[in-house]
Amino acid sequence: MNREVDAVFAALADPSRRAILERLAAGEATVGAVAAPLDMALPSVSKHVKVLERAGLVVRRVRGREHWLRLAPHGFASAADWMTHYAQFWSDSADRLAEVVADLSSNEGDPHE
Amino acid sequence: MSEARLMVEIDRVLPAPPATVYRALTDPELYQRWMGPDGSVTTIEEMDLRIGGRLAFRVRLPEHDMEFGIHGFYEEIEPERRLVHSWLVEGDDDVSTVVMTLESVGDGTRLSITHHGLTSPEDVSQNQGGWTHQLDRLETVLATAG
Repeated sequence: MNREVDAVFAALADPSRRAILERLAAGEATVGAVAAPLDMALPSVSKHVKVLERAGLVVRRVRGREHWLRLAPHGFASAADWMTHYAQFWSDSADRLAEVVADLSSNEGDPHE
Repeated sequence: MSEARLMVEIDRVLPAPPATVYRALTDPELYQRWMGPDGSVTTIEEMDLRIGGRLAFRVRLPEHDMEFGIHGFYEEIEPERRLVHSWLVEGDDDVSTVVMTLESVGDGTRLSITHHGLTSPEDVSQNQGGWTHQLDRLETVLATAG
């Protein structure tokens, strides 16, 4: 097998890293939010995140002081890759829906709208 | 099992009451504004909100120069609580099901979306399971392949 696949396999071999991926399957999250349920110091979580990044499974985006993580759309091969697309499809849709209903709520709260 | 039956589940608390969320799920103009991944443009072709009624829309992804059509039929309609419809992607033979449930929490709404009955075109030897199972199985696949 090639090195990429080795890196993916190594990344997935750890239960904490799988927990991080499961959390991210539900949507983009900060490093802090990912760390919260893990009962682990932040530096340890950062190490795990770096392993996932190197394996091409997770992408990091820095927004202000916060680091946001999301699943890399092309990180997984075959079936799992395809699953990621649908997870992303619904996750993005739900985020967009949240914005739409927030707009509706604020307009409904304003009698001049 | 001869084919994979997989599912994707997501769960969000949205900042509006169930009546508002339900409206966003069932009003064509509002639906177009949120359905589809980031950067996509969705156009509703039909939204016949009754049991057996047809839902059809197209999702365009300009960045990827891609467009696909999706249609389905409403199977369960419980205003402000639950919406179930089938899901068929144009050019694909496999019908899956989307279940949306709404639950009032505080000033907001917990929306759960379960997309099940998904068939992976590239993986026909697996049994059913969610994301967790997918990860577990991927490990096995990789270990075997290695």
